[in-house]
Amino acid sequence: MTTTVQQRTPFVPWIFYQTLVQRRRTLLYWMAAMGGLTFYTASFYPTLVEGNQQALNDLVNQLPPYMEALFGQMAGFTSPEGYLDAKLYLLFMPFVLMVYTIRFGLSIIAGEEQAKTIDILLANPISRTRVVLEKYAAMLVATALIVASVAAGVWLAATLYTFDIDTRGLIAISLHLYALIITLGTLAMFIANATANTWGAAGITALVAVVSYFINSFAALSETAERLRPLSLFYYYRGHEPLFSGVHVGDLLVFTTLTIVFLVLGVIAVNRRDLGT
Amino acid sequence: MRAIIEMQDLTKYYGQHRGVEDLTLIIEEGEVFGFLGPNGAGKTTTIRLLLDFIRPTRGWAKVFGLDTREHSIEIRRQVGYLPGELALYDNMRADQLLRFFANLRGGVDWAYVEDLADRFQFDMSRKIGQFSRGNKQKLGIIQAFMHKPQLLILDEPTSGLDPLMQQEFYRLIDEGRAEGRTIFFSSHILPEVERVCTRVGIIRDGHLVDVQDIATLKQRSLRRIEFRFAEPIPQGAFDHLPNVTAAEYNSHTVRFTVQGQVDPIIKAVAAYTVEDVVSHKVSLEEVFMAYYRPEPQKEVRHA
Repeated sequence: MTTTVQQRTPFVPWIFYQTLVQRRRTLLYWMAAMGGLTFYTASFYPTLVEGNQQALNDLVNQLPPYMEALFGQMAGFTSPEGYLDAKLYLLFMPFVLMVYTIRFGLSIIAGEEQAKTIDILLANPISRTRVVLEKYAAMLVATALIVASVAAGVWLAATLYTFDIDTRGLIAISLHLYALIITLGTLAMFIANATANTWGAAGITALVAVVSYFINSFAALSETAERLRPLSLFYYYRGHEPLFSGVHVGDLLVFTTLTIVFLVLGVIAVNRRDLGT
Repeated sequence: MRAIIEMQDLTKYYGQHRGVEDLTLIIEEGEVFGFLGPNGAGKTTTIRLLLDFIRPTRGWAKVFGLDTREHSIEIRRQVGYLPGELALYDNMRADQLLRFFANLRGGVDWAYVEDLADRFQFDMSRKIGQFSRGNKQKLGIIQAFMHKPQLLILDEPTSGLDPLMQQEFYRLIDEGRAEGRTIFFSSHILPEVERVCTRVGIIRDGHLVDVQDIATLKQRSLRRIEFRFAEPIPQGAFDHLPNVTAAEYNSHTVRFTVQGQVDPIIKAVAAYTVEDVVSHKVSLEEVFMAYYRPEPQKEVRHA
């Protein structure tokens, strides 16, 4: 039999495309739910503060310091930024959205192994590296859309209910949030790529997030926590209060560096081991 | 003849657990090679080693003369693979999956895909999650054949197919063979191997026990002949005959187990009055069963 002439087709990121197509419904649910929830939360701001400013401030001043440490800087609660920071960006959004990125990260290789679809996918003439990178790129795009829909929810509420929100701060906190959850998703992917253990990878990543959160929160109260603070991912997320003071480039560089390291390690790990055993 | 698959001392352990051990085998261009063995013998392990999903503990394998570890992508470009434990993306439609794979490969003739779907009476417009086992298997077969690969690696390809579709699949294999494709085919269904394969390798407990041409196996296989005579036959009357591996005497009847020519027996029994004769070949199945048994049966081994 004569060897068929190899057709050199131009590179098209089919796996990237297919991943987004397959996940489009889930992605839309997430965007609608997170955007909607944000809008709903933000739209309560005017009713809450109207005429209650003084009472709220008095209440906040009576709270013990550890409450403030855990649940945000209540002093700024009565400004739109302070309200949104405490209600959404401090705790809720990072922990809910990391569920999306961690699950996505796990699905990139380990999820295909568990579903046993990895064999039929890799029957095609594609490298493991290509699968990881294209699906990873899909994660970057999908997560960006969710974070953007959260910001859009805030913006829409501010427009409709006529309160001022600092656009620069909103963009900054969105970027920091995005960097945080992508870093966690990449960490989860790296562990799962190395071990094929999705539960372990999810557990370790969640633990890193929770410990990060507490270290950063208690930094004001405890000297030990203050010293450990550079080890906390949450320190780089909102240690410099991006919602109030804008983008902190150094923090984003830390996230970018970590993400690249986890991604490279994740690619190396998955090329070294047996798949689907 | 070009070697399409070569294995040399190919060994895979999963930790302490044995996968396969010291497989050495060459499969040449145009062969339809049946890889036969009971479940858990190491068929799938061998196939997954060839595709570089898992890596050998020692030894090596080459496909098209290329090392499976170094040149996996080039190899897979010319391989059609049907996994044994077939899992597909349930939320996709069949045609979406096939388009996706065709795009990843490039140069797939979509008319041929539609042709294959027609042959297997397969509805490509449905969601994969709604498919029965047999329909998923058809989809697996179509994706393995659609780019007309030089080598087909099929892990238990007919499982889940109804008999009609099995026949269609055998025809597809025959066509592939006529076109000079090489087919590596794992199975535990003996008549199937006998039907489509030119050569067979038997794997048991991770070891390649034997490799034989199907024709040789059939030739070597045994024949049973039973004669009924008009008169009682004394015990041991025909024991000296060549090619007789066993003879049972039961008054008027004698049952021979013969390997090779039956002529000496016919000549010998002609001395008596033969009332009836029944003859049948021992099926390949019986030959294979002997390989499968932990302790190979003497009678067949030395036959």
